[in-house]
Amino acid sequence: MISSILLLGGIGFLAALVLGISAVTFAVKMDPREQEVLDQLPGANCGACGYAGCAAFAHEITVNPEAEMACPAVNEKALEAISAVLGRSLGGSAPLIACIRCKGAPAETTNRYGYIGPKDCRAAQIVAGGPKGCQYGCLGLGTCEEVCPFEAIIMGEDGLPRVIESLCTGCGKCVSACPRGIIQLIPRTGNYWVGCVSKDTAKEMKPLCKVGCIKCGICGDVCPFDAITVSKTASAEIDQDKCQRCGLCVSACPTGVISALSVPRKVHIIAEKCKGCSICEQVCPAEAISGKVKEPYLVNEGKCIGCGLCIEKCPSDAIERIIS
Amino acid sequence: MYYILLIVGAALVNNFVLARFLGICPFMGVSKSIDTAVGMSMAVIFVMTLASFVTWLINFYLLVPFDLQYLQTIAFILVIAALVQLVEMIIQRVSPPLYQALGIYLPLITTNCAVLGVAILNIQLGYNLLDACIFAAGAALGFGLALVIFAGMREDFELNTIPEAFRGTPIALVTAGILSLAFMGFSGLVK
Repeated sequence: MISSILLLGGIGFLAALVLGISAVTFAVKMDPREQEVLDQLPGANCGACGYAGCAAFAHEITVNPEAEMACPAVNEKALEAISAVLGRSLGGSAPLIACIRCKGAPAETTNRYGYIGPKDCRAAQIVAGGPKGCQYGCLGLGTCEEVCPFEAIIMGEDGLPRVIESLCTGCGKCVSACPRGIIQLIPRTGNYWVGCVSKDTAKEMKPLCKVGCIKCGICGDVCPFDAITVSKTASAEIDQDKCQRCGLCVSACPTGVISALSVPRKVHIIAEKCKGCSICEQVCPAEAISGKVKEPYLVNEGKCIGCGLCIEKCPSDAIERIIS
Repeated sequence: MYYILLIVGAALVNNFVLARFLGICPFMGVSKSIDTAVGMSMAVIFVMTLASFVTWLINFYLLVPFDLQYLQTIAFILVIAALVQLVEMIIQRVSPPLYQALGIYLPLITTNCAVLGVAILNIQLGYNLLDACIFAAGAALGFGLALVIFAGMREDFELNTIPEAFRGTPIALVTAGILSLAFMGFSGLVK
């Protein structure tokens, strides 16, 4: 009885002693900033940064002074906090958002065969290239919805996935999961995208889909900034760097395939920088800017169409784009 | 030859998971993808060999002299848990890459029943110290083999249409049973 208590107690005491000593001698100095950085990261462990989870990335960015902010899902507030913790400014990439480049809901398209396999686009794609008539369109089985770690994609009643803009962090999980490659990441400050990636000509597309890009080229012609390229064998593409968000292409498109984010983009004049030169007032096509010369000008957000012409013309860089 | 037979016997004939039914919890829990299964297997091989070594010493140099063999189970659990903690600390300091590779699995399996099982079997089967370590390594290899095979099969389930009543754990259990039957084919290979 006594000996058993002594023995077990002894082993336990010895183990505790050894563990206690080695906890001190083998202590790995963890940078306290690492935990602070980790607290700011989204914690979804989605892996979009290229590291094995948020903790691994927090470690990397803390110890390596040259590491860039690779997390596409971090928001601006957290980015600022992390920059403050690390004492260096992390530009990060412009925040991205996923857009679904297909508008061919089942009601608008035809199927080549009935598919009754597992409810997974990747599985359906393996079966003779998928049931959809259009070989480029959305299969609508919700694989993107399933892989989204932020629950930012839901399958709409029309059978197409829909991105919830406030939840999407632009991590790109859906992009790599989609077997059709129709999900694209565009800058959050961008506004328009073409909801079709079909390479079919208008004639080939006609029996398959009523709402695809027919390569008519009208959008390219109306675009004042030369930001849209169209060819006979590829759907229209909007160059997000050139696009000034004027929205002319949306109303010109005969099939309505060009889509816009639902959150409108506006401009904002930074009062401290504005010298009151009145150039912005003159270039604004919507008469949304007003003010007195030599005093800061003001933007009427109700009228602003977010075209950004003023940003380009402003000599003192006093105008910035905001998400209204 | 004796050692080869010992390893084959522990890994295939008396496979810990599929013939002795030890360590079923990680077998079901960590077998959803091959990557995690491999990480888990590595950690198990490491811990089982180490634990066998230490528990054998504990048994024959502490428990037997004091005639306290009835404390075997609790003493082994205590020692294995403490040992794994210690090793984890040392690895984290000495070899960060290894620490990263073993990751979360190392502390997870401190008191896994396969680990405790091999420690107790070593004593019951009367192995000497070298035999015990080799037996443990073989057993852990068998555990890893079963885990990786099973994970591969479960990955394929993702693409199959399974009747609703069988989806998830039920089909996994049925598969584990059939896999176990397949391993029964090895019985009699080694005594």
